[in-house]
Amino acid sequence: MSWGVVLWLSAGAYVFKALGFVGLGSRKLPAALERCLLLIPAALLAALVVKDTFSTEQALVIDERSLGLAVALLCVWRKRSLVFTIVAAAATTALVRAI
Amino acid sequence: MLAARNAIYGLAVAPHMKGSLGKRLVTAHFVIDETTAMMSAQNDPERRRFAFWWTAIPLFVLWNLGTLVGALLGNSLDASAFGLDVAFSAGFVAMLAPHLARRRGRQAAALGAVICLVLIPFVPVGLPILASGLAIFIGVRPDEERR
Repeated sequence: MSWGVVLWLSAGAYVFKALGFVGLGSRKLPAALERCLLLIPAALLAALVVKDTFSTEQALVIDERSLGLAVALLCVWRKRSLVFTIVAAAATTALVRAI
Repeated sequence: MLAARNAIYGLAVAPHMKGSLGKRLVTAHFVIDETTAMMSAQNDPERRRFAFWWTAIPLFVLWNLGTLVGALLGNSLDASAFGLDVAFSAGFVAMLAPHLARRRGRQAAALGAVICLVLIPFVPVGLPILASGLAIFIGVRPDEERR
C-alpha cells in the first residue's frame, strides 16, 4: 500500500468522525433521541465483538476465538480488571491454537 | 467501511462536548469505540468529559507507540499465535459491562449483536456493524423500569 492511499484513507476516516460530531454541535436534543444515542456503545460494541469472534471476512465461523471470548465473559462477570481480562482471553486462544 | 461507525459515535459524543468549531474538529479525532464507551457509561456531564479525555489521551499515546513497535517488528511475529486477535473483543466485552447494567442497554446489545450476525454472510464487511446501530431505536420509548 502506498503512502498516498494511506493518507486518503486517513482523511476519509477523520471525515467520518467529524461528520456527526461537528455537524450535531452541542445543541440540545429531544429526550427520546438522547436516550437512543446513549445506547450506541452497547449496540455497536456488542456487534463488533460478535463480528471479531464469529466471522472471517463474510463467513461465519466458530474457532479458537470463541473460547477466548468465553473466558473474557467469565472474567467480566467475575469483575476482573480490564488488563486481566484481555490477557486471560488472549492466552486462552493462543493456548488452544498451540495444541 | 469499518470507520463509518465513528460517524455514529460522533453523534453519541456530540451533545456532551462544549467548545468552538476548531476545538470540536480536534476533539473529533479522538472519537472511537473506547472513548465513546467510557464516556456514555458515566451519568453527569462533568464526569462524561473527564472519562472521554482520560480514555483518549492514554489510548492515543499507547496506540501510536504500539503502531511504532509493530512497524519496527514488522512481520517477524505472528499476532494470532499470541491470541492477540481476541484482545480487542475481550477489551470491548469489559467496556460493554457497565452498559449492560440497565435493561435498555442489554436489549440494545443483544439486538445489535443479532443484527450483525444475521447480516455478515450477505453484505460487505463493515455494513453489519453500521446496521447494528439501528438497535438504538429501542430507546425511543422511555423505559418504565428504573434500572
